[in-house]
Amino acid sequence: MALDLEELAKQMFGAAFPIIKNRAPEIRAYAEGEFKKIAQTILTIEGESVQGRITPEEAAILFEMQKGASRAVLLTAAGLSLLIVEEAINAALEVIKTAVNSAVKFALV
Amino acid sequence: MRNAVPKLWRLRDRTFAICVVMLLQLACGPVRLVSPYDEVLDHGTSDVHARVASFVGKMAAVAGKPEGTYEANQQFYPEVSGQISSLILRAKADPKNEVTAKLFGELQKNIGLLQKLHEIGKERGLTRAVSDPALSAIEVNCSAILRLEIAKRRGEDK
Repeated sequence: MALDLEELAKQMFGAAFPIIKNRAPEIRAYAEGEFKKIAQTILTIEGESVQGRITPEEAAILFEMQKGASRAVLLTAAGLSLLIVEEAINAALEVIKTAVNSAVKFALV
Repeated sequence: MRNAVPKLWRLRDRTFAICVVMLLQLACGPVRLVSPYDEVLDHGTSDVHARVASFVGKMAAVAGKPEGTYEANQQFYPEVSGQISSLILRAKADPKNEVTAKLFGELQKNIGLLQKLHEIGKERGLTRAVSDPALSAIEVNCSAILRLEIAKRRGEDK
């Protein structure tokens, strides 16, 4: 049976898309949680600064540290996204493997 | 088998040719966009966090005393920075570990800023008002590294 490119593409999408759709919320939950912590810390810095318990120079450095923490959260979100894409690509390729082996009637791969 | 190769070349079926290319990709193994889990980076990060948290806690307890000043404790910073540098080196050994290497870079920058805070504290040292938000940021850095590293392990389990 000849391979149908459209059917193959549909199967690949069907295998890959649910992975992305189901796993993407994990990244959102992680990033939201971490940014809440950072936002709370920034409020703390503001409060301590107003109270005079930290100097303006210390406040500036502490704010810079929160920016570094924020960059880390975004980097990890990017890394998690790559892992999800990797899983989706491999799932799509696995579908091709099954479809082609069925078409050629032997284990080509 | 010998006839399969000339048959492939005679076939002008682009669909089949595309699938063969994909199968060759499959034959090389699964696609990997991110490096595999590294236990050394995982445990190394936890160790750095434990050291920094312990140090900051001690400094907050002795803030305002001579034993809490930067001068009395400055050796801590190059030691922990050196430990992070080793982890960066290990992470960079795999080109697909770029994100993790950058994460360690951010952690190292924040350790540097913690050092600066301690230094400008002078006789006050690292008061709790300063050390709490500083440690919070560093914990986010460490947590970010561990979150990604553990996610790589989950991928390995499949």
